[in-house]
Amino acid sequence: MSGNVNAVVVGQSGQGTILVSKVLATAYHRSGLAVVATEYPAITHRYAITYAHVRSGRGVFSPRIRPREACIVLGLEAFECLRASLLFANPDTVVVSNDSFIRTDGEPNHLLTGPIAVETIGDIVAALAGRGITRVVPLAATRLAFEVAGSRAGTNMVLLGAAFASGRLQLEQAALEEAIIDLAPRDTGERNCQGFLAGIAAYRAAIGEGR
Amino acid sequence: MAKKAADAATELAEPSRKFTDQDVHLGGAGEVCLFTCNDSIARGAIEAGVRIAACYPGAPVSYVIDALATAAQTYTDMHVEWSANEKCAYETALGGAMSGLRSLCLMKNVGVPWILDPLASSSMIGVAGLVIVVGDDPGAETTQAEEDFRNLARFAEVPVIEPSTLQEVKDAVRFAFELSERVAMPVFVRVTVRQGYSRAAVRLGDIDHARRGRAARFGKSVINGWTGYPAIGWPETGTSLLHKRFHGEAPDAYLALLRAEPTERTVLAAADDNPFNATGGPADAALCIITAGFVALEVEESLALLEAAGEVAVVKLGITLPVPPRLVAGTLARHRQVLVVEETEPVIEEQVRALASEVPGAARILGKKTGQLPYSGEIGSDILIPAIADLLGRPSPLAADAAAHAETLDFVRQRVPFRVGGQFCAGCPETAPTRVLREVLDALPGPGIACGDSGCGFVAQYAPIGLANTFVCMGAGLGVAMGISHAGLGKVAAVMGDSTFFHSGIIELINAVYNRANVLLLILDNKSSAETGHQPHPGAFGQTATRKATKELSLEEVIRPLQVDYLKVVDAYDPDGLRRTYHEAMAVEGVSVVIATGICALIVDRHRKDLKQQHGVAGAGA
Repeated sequence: MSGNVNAVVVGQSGQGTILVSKVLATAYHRSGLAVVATEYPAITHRYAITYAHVRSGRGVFSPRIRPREACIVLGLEAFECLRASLLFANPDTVVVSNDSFIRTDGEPNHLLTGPIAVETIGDIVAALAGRGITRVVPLAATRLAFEVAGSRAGTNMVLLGAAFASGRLQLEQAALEEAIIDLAPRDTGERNCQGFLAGIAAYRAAIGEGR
Repeated sequence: MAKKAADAATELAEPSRKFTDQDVHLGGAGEVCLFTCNDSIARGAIEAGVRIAACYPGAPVSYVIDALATAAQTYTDMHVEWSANEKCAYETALGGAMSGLRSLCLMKNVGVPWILDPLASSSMIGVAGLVIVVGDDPGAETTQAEEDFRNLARFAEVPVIEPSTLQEVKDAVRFAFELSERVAMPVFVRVTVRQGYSRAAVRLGDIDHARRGRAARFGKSVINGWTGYPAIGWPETGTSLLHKRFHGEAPDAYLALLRAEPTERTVLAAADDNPFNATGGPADAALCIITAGFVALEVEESLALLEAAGEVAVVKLGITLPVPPRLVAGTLARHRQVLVVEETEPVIEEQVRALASEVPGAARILGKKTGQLPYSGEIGSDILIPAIADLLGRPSPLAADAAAHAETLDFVRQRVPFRVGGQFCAGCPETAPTRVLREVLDALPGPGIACGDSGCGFVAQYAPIGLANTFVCMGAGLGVAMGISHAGLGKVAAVMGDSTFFHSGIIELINAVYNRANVLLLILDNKSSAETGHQPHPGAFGQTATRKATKELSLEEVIRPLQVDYLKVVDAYDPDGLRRTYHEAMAVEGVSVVIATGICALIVDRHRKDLKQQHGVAGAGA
């Protein structure tokens, strides 16, 4: 795959969107590839929507990705993934989404409640398909993070692994693993790497590779 | 559980490395690093030999102080501080510059109004080596107002530099100190929120250790010193004389008594002669784009996609206030149309229009005033490409995507709207105090009005808490509550954080006591400027920006001498105690203050994780 990489990462405040952006940008930089990134930490309140745009390639000047020009959308929270994909995906975009919603008191957070009927990841896949976005790969990333890394905090790295497995990032696996080890907080590098590897396997299983 | 954990934290956790790598002082000249904008600003200041740095936290420049504080562990001659507010930060930097040391202060756009008095009162006195970095916010992503601070810089006639790439950000901060010394004025550097949260490769320069190591010196001469106040009692002297000198209107007889600078002539010359001005494209192109700052990258991106770099000239301005007069006049004379591309207000555009009146046959000027570009929001290449394509008389290559996107936006607005909102974090000590206050206000007779403020407590205005009915700006909640109460609507509540209290709330409280207001002030004392990244403040753990021990001011002890009519400290995790206290406080005619104390749950959590890492699992609960 050639051309520019336009990666959109989206989640809610506190889910590790910025860390994914930082890992990606570092991996590109250390691989000798041009990279620019910008983050939208919003107002840093819980459940606020957090975006990152990471771009690599020749002829990339601004870190902002234009609407409908993402080559991959990485969604840490299912509903925000829907919204970001509507804005930034096109029919060729690969969307890797967590299947989990952030809910409070058993209900979707009020930020997420909209007139659209979205209760499950299946609804999101259908809603995106209705807008022509069909290359959607939902993953049980939060559950995997618990199983592999022992904490839902590893969800972001599971999804990063899946994004890597999609081939859209144009990066070597070792470059990402090295960046994860170096940038993960405290002593969580190894566990985050385990999450990353689990994400690769989960993506491949989801699209029927590696059987 | 949460309260026990809160009690365990006795100090601030180390600053987050989210938006800074912090060790930016370590890289050698020539090294290429992946930097954030905050890193770039910090490194530029370090390379310039900055000695004094001060800031009140605010997006997107909050993390510069973390990087400088780390550098100050090595370069111990540096003074780095979190100031109580932006005015304090500016004045600290001003004093440093008056002492001959390169000094820096930083703030977000809504911080600039706070410094206007000392800024306008010091811009003409000849102070040098003073740089103010401001984070503007096109689109009001992180602020309550989409202000363009450049209009305030114009108020004080202070130059503004606008770098575009992060490399330029670093270099521009360094250059700003040199420019400030050349023109003998404070100098602003403008970054925007999108730029402020960017990452890109930056090549480092050398660090001017000699400049940083210079001894402080202070001239005490009354006439040639640092006072702009009328000192001789004659209309042509004092402040007015400084303003006359700046504009070349001072009588020669007095000029001999003054410093030679600042003068507008020198500033204009510096605008034309600065390393960040750049021209590109064909000199005889019919269309020229005048731009500056971060949005210049969008211009570059747009022309690349349009494959129009060979037919459109580009003039990138390094200094935008004032615009370089010779460069702009030459541009207006050379081209048939000029499109001015900048974010938020037409500050460049208005100056270009003014200059055009002096240029025979000047180009037609396009921009915000003529409707090609919007005032509000960020200007991306998706906005620029159709605008430029239209001026070139060709279809936009994004037309199909734009139509599809417009349709999608309609769908999103109708079906999955972005709702304004937010919630407190799990275990947040601000949840119960705000929720219970709303319950009490609703239960009592009277208007049940509460006025909000900046900080994490901001989210209490949203469902399900729904506490605050107004939000204006930093520190305004109590003042507005006073006004509503004086209007005859009974006892009105105001809520602010501990950092806001030290920023400006204390003045509001003094005013409330003096004017016998009938208000309840709830102070959410979570022991940090939590919303902006847990920066310390005068009431938090007794730590400075460089993590040195200092005095910790107790809110209760600070407030008690102010003679409020009711004062009580309550545990933020005790809903019953809060409820009882609010009822007591609301029953008192006059100024009631309730301090709800509970350390930010994220500090507690980080503290616990630090302990866990240091001592193993057994230490986690210690």
